[in-house]
Amino acid sequence: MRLGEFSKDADTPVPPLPDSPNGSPAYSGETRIGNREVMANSRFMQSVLAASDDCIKILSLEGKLLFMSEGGQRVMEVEDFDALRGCPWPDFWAGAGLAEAQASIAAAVAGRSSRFLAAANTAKGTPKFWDVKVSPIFGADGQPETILSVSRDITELKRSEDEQRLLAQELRHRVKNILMLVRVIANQTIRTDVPAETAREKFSARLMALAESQDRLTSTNGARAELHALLDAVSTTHGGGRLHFSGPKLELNSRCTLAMAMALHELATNAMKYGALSNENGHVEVTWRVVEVAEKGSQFHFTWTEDGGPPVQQPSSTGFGSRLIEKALAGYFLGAARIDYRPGGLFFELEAPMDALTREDT
Amino acid sequence: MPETKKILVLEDDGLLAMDMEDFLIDEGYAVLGPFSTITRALEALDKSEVDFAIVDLNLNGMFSFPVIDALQARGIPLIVCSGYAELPEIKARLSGLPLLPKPWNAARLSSLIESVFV
Repeated sequence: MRLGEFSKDADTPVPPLPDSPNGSPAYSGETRIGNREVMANSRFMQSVLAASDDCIKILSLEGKLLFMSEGGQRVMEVEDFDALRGCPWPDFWAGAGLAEAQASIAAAVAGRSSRFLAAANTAKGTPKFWDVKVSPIFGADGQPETILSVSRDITELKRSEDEQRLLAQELRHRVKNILMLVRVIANQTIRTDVPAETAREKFSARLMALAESQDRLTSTNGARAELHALLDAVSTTHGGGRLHFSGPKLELNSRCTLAMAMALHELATNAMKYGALSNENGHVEVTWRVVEVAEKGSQFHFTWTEDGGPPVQQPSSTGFGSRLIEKALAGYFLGAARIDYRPGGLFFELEAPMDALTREDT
Repeated sequence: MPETKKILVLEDDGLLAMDMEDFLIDEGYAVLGPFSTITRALEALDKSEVDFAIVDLNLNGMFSFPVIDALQARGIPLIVCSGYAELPEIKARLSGLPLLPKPWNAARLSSLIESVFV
């Protein structure tokens, strides 16, 4: 509204802004325009300053606060500017910001503009991140007279940038882990004593299990999975309705998710080939629980019990599956894993500190 | 037939350990371990004779310097395997030990073994 009034009334050019680049005296036009225009001009400037969410300040050449815009007092959470008037502006900064603020004042005194990004708290102690531009305001003699400092609150922008960076880092980490796992699977599956066709099928099935586990990743950053979801995947692809599971709702970190998904794939594949899922009547019961153990804290206890399959024989050599389960899985869960080839059905158990399941890797 | 050389392996990542163990066995070495903790590796070092060692620098956030020092005190040649090897302050503490960056590749490890151990 006021802007409209102003434009209608003003038939003289707008006086140069305080930081006009040619350094011309700031208000030299005032004497040539009438009182009405001066009033309108001042009202206009005030409303512009009040509307801006930037914290606009005028400082003395010593860096003391002379003026702070209304909008600036809002974002800086200043209730009474009079209490701050005359305080050294650099005192609002700490660490790197303090040095930047001091340097920017020195630059303005020398007639140069500068800009920096730094963190500072508001008057009420709310941490914020600012984009700050500091410029000299020249007097009639062409020398810096006062200093203009405009700080823009970029806290939200900074936060989302930080979040993006973290996500990208996490993603790189996960991709690296997965590629490492693919290499191990390739090395373990493609071997001189295994026919190429068999190796190809096994390799492909293992990669599919890995891909399946990635589909089950939930949570906001996509790095965790529900144990239920992993078992649901195995039960759907391998179980034929004869793999049952029960246990409390539980989330695994990315490494444990990968290791668990691979282990479940190996167990289920083995059960379909030789174990309880290889005939018509066998079934697999999977249970897990969290128990409090003295001096150990919360412990995760997981069991895989096969029943009703053909008689079990201890394998003559240890394949990738059993090594993966007994060594790698146990290692990733920082616990102990054991496969027991009981005559009535294969039994597997894993015990690990709860801590290891949820902690994000370094 | 030449005597089989025994290599101590310290690596906390179970899958990587498995991968390295298989690689070394295929190359004709015997493997002591793989161990996943400093304590286990030190115990094994007290009980058994080893010819060489391959040691992962970062074990779940703990640096394996106690094992590195113990190996050096016994004059056992070693390779340090690490993704952190690039950090200058860590590199300084390794004082010229041969480094195998992670993820390791077979050709690089082979040539390092040749140059360091043989």
